[in-house]
Amino acid sequence: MERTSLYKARQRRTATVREAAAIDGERALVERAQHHDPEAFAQLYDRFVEKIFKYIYYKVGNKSDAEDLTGQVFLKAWEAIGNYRLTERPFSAWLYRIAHNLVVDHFRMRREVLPIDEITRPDEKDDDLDVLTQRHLTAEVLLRAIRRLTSDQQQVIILRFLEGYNTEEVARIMGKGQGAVRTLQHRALAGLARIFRRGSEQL
Amino acid sequence: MMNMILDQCLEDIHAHRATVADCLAQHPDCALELGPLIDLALAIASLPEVRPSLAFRESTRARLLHLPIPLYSWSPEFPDLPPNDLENEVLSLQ
Repeated sequence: MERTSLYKARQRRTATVREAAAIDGERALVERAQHHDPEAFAQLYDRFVEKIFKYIYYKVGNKSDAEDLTGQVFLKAWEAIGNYRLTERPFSAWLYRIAHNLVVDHFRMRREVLPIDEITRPDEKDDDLDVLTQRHLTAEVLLRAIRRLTSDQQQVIILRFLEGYNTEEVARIMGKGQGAVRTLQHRALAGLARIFRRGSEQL
Repeated sequence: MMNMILDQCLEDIHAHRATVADCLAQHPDCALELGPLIDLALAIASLPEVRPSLAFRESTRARLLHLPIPLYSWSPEFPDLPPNDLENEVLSLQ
């Protein structure tokens, strides 16, 4: 038992050292990019392009728009990297902020409102959420429901469950406390449950 | 309180330290609310992985490597001043 605890403690220490090294490496790349080193910026791109793409994809719902917006995120980041200030928040938090703003603009331009019928089918009036989960929660339906949440709730759901960050990391990225993230997470999941239980009445 | 319980359960399930049944058994008072929320979180986490196409990744990377240097140059001498303030400062000195 004691050996297991020691092993876990060592694992945690190793993970912490690895994280610290990764953060140092990231800072060095950011500083080089701020001095207009395109190779350093390309390395930052390599690190974050998939995460930013995923974040945007789950918000806009199609690959072509998501790729277009992801490209724009990195172009804007290159243009503005001189204004970026190294803080305790990770560099990715700044990229997510740019991505968020571009997604907001994207929807503002398209004035897109999802029809209620596309979220729940007319026959899905069953109150048993388990039945709905098992039978009808296709990826598409679930994603459409997520897009009905508030922006902060969407961000928590995407970062936490689709990008695999833990609560502490989500809090750092969003610039919020862990308590606030837990509250958002609870409200988001409860909101989704309500959407699936009540169908169009909820909306 | 529910926020904490839900988060702890999700962390434990994700790390394979507990199953959904374990969590519900540990928290019988709120199992009715907790169960569906955990199920939803797991359903979201199991959505198919999405990735940008290789063609997009490579073409964007190549484009980034050949971008012009931004007009505003970051100044290590004034790291705390945002660009507009720096410009105003320079203008006020003239």
